[in-house]
Amino acid sequence: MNETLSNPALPAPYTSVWVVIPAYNEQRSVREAVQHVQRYIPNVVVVDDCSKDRTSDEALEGGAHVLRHPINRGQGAALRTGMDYALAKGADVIVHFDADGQMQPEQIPHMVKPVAVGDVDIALGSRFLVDVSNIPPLRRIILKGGIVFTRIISGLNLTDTHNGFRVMNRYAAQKICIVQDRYSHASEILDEIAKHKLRYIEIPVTVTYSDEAMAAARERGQNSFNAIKIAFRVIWGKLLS
Amino acid sequence: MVIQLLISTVALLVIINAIGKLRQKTFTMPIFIIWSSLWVAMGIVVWYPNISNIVANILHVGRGTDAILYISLIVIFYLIFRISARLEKLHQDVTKLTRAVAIASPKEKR
Repeated sequence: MNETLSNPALPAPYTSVWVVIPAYNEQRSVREAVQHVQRYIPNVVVVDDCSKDRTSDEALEGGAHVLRHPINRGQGAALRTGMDYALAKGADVIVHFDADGQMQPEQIPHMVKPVAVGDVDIALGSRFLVDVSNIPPLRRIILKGGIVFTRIISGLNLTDTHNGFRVMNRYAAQKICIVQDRYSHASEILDEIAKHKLRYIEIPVTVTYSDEAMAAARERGQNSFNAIKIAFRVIWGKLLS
Repeated sequence: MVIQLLISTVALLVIINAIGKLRQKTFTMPIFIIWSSLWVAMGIVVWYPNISNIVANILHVGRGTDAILYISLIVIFYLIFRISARLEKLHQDVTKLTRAVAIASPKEKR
């Protein structure tokens, strides 16, 4: 409960950890997500990607710093906005977290630690290092496809390539360039890790696929078949770059 | 005959339009020359289709119409690629602007 920044496990130079939460139409869950995260990390910035509901107000009530995109630009763009803000605030460590309640805030300190002590530049959450029985079968197949795709495109050997739970140090946050605005940013981040030879580690995390969270994801236009669109965008982005 | 007249009329209108754009300085001279030449060539080919056979022979393609088709496809694909690249750049610029606006006005609970 009180495993906050004062936790002696986190060394003195890394006194500034910021959690970036991109949010789009998350009024139902964002306040709770912010409050849960703040039990562990007090600095939270929510980037409201031009939601049509009360996401900004709810995040503000929850106690987060709130940035609002005047135009919807996608999750990748929102993450980069939050990262730029956190870096300007002097963040030494940045955490990517979701607003939909699927991730477990109590796992943040475990994710932060290897980055904070300087063992790695970036820690990536993996759903496949723990029991995967809670992941819906279709989602599991698509995610496995993503792993193969990433191995071909980036050359990284990971067990989970599209997990939004990440922790990175300031150096990595400055190096990683996200130009893909929509969901293809996950592949792009992995590309950047390979390109800049960032030191990384995968850490087991649990993702809860509650009916409510899955319904909210569908409302936001996420579905398993987006994977094909994402793969196309990644390849197309490489051709255009 | 009908298709020849139709294409010739369209070509003529496009060239007149291009002259107007050149005068308004919307078109630079190189763009005007390329664009007008394309339509003049099209006008000539519809009246004298055998000319395209000369191009076909140079390219070792069976018929003149095939040569035109192949060249058109290459040009169209190239243009689509260029437009996509330009569109992507525009998207990225819009995102940068959006980001700057968002970061300029953060909100915090007092």
